[in-house]
Amino acid sequence: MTNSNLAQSASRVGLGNDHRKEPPFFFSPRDYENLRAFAARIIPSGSNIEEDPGASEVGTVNYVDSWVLDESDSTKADLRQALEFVDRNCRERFGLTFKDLHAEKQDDFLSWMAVDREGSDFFDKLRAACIEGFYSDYCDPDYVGRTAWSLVGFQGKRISDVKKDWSFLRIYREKDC
Amino acid sequence: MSAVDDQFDVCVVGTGAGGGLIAGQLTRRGLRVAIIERGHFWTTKDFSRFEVDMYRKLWAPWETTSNRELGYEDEIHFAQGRCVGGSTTIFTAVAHRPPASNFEDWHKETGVVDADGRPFSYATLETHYELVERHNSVRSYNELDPGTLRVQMGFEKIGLNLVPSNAYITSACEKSGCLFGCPTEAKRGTMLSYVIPAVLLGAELFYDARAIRVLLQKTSQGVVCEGVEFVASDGEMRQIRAKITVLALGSLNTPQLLMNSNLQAYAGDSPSLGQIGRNMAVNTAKMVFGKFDEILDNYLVKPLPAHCLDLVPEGILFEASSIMEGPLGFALPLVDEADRPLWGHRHKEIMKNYRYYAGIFLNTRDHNNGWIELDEHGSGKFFKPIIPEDRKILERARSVAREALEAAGANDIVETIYLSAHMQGTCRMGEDRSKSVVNSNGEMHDIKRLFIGDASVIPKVIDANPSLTIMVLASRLVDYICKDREAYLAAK
Repeated sequence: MTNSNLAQSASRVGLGNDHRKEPPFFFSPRDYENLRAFAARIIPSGSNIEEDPGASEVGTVNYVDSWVLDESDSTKADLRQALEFVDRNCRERFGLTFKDLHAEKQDDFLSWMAVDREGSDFFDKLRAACIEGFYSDYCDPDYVGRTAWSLVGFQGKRISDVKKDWSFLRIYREKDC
Repeated sequence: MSAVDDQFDVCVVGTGAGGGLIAGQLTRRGLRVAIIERGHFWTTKDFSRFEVDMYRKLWAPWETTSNRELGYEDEIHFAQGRCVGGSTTIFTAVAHRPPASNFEDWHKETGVVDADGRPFSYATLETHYELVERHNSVRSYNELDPGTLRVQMGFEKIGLNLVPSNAYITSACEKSGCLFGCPTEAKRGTMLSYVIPAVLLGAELFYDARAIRVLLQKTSQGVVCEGVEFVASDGEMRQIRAKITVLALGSLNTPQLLMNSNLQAYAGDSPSLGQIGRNMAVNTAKMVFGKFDEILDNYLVKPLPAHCLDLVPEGILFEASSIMEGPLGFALPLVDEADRPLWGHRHKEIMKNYRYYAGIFLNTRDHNNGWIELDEHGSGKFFKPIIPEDRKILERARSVAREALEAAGANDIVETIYLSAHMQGTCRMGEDRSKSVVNSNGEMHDIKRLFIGDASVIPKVIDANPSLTIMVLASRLVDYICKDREAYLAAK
């Protein structure tokens, strides 16, 4: 069994990827890459990524991958099933998984999924997790650059000097070790 | 399993608008009170503007209706606090006294009466409104921010009046994020006004504790409640024995606790028990945001400081302005023209203009047509179909809100999902046992010594922001218990 197969079967039975020191901690490599691509369409980057970063630059996928570890079993199952839905339907329609589609095709797929009877609930859950990741002002521990609060202009009294404690996320706990 | 103590006079479950007041006031009157709260005991020093952290610590995960299972298109999303103080720790502090007309139908609905047996009316509650307003520093909030003044101008242009509303806020307000707990204690709520004073006077507070069921006993006087079983913060199952038990977990959770308590095994099937979890109204609401030419910074304000009462006769109450006080709360509920969640470039453009938006919160006086069921795991499922009568009110409210924003000069308008923090009516009070769960005093028809002290008891939907009315009903319940306290406390 390869490492990625091991990780996949471990996460399928709900163990997460406990042995790892770096993401993905929860998702299988395939789901993780598809989620990264999904987040990049929900919160796209501008043409100047320093001025106008999106989910790709700050690492929103890593927020979701760490955050979900402490969520309920049903939330975990929902997100896994949602990403399985994305993979299965993309393969059926395009013969490729989501991350390998062109951005335009990805947007077409998401527009369909967002109103599909079976897909819309999955879409809403993935979208909400990505938006929470990005607009919480999360960024990866090694990221240097603009983040959501600066992008939207959320600042001022009791905001600019807030100490953001990310220790509820495993990616930050590993960093501190 | 261990009993904590069998000497408590009262066990109160929940510390929100209802439970917090009841625990505090009964302690002040000399009763020995135990308090069970599902959330954590965060206090003022913990309340920062780190939005995601505060949502995680102070808010319950949002609940959503299952209307689509019944073939209805729209879901409604429910917000609640989960912390000491409940939703009053995270509310926008609107202290709304409903117009007297709101109470006119209560007696007709369930036969509810006042202490002298006369039909229940606004007059039944008037002295309690005055008392609770004093306890909670209620005043007219006159310091309107630029966003609210903008929206006010729009309302004026279409012939409607947006005027300052009352708030539970002292003059020390620093406009620092009501939704994430007030960092200055200018905003009052049950934590400050009732729960902390109760603890200082000897009440025992069990937080991070989850009530599992009420403890029942068949006696010669009928079925009697003897306390509550709960999972304590250390994970241990424990029991509190009390002469009087008051449930105030909120309109979504109080009926679930009752449904999980196997009441029928003790009390048999009765029309009253069949009413548990029914008749839910929620003030189905939506926010409509307008983008303006100038920076408004509508997150550095006291949210919803003003309201428009002109359309209350039509079942619509507008409040303004707010943009949810943080980018995350603003970003999540946005929808497109087809009411589907927004994403991609359009969503990001809106977010990049966050500082330019102001918003109208539209509350509707919807119908008591919702209900709660348990799934196979004993968890609640919520149904509140948007029926044609409610749809008509919502559409009218939406179009007036958009018109007001356009008149105010908005150059872009965007709406949110349907949402609510005003769930009510799931264990109504009344004298007609086929239409109510508790009697006019708040005690269950079929189970003695078991009271309900939250928004569940409201017989017919009130027009908006029920927190003040919940506290007022709780204050009335305290008076009732104290009047008859010897009878309750003496008996075994």
